Amino acid sequence: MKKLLPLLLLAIMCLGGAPPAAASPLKEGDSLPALKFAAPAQAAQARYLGLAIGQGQFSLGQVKASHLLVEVFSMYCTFCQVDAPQVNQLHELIKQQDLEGKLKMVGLGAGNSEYEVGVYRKKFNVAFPLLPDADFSAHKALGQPRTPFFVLLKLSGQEAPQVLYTHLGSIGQAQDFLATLKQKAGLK
Amino acid sequence: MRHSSRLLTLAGGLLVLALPAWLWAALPREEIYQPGQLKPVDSQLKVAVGQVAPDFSLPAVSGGRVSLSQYRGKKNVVLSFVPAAWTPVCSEQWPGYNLAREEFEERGTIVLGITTDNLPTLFAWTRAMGGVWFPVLSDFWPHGAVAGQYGVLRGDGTSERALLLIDKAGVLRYIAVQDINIRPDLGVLMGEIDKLR
Repeated sequence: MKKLLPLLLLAIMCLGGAPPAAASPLKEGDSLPALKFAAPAQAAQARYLGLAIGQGQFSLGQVKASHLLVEVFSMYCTFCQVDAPQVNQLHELIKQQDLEGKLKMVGLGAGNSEYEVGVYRKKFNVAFPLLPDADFSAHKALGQPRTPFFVLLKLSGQEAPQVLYTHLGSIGQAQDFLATLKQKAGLK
Repeated sequence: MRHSSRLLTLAGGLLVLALPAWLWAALPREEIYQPGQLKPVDSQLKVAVGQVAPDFSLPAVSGGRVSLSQYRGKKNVVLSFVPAAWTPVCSEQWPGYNLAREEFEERGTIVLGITTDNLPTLFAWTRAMGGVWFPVLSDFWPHGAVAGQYGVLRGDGTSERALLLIDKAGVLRYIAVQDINIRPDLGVLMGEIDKLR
């Protein structure tokens, strides 16, 4: 029994999963602060978000969908690197289930320059738009969450997007995570 | 006995559930020493762009010794001095360089990671980060001799967060002694490497 205790303790400690948030990240029921981002230079990514080609800046509320999942990540975050294939699979599942018109995804590279976000995109072949946040300004506005951090937003035209759900750490199985997102968003 | 067997199964099951979050090459922040805000720079450079980089030979975590001159005529070298193992910014910077391995290799460039920690500390730290593809060298003894030679040894015995780019001829082509509290933008470094082409 004594020999098993360390193993049990380690297992229970590990179940804590990703470390707790450092500051006060966004939570369910919050409104998204006003944030502006440079529109993606790639035409396909601008089209995906429903933005005009050549549009300078945009806010997340302008994305053409009823819901938006934001992944706050960093190229330097090993948790994010490990989770990248599952997140890609989530994006693929959204497409396969014909939900793309309702639920879109963007990544927000906390403290990452355009180049650094590009390294992450290339390494993991990320198909959804990744937005740089080199000076951490968007990250600060979101309450400085640890990464990866996921925020499901309800978009409603002119009003500030509403936070429906947040998740810190790995998404686990993409299928299960998508089921949670659909339930939170009321999507069929 | 049956009780123990059930406990073992339970513990094993819980560990399997927990694996994705902790044990896949990720270093939880709780395991990292938080030094707080530090004086941005605490040393005086002793080298300059355009001069031949001073040669050195240091013990590597992977075994043996690595010298700067062994890359002469073969690869560009980025010396990445970081202040200390198990500290916040350093524990992100090198995993980022891990991800960018192909970016460095496409540019004919090797990274040499250097700290003034001893080898056992560097061994444990790099393993906890899941390993890195580039040599990690210990400038522990004589303490900080190489960092001192380059003028990036801080008053507390740690090194600056500094990047020095050396071309294949062994000449220093770019030096950035960064605010120790801030991770350098990899894009700037890659831009400097691109200028060597």
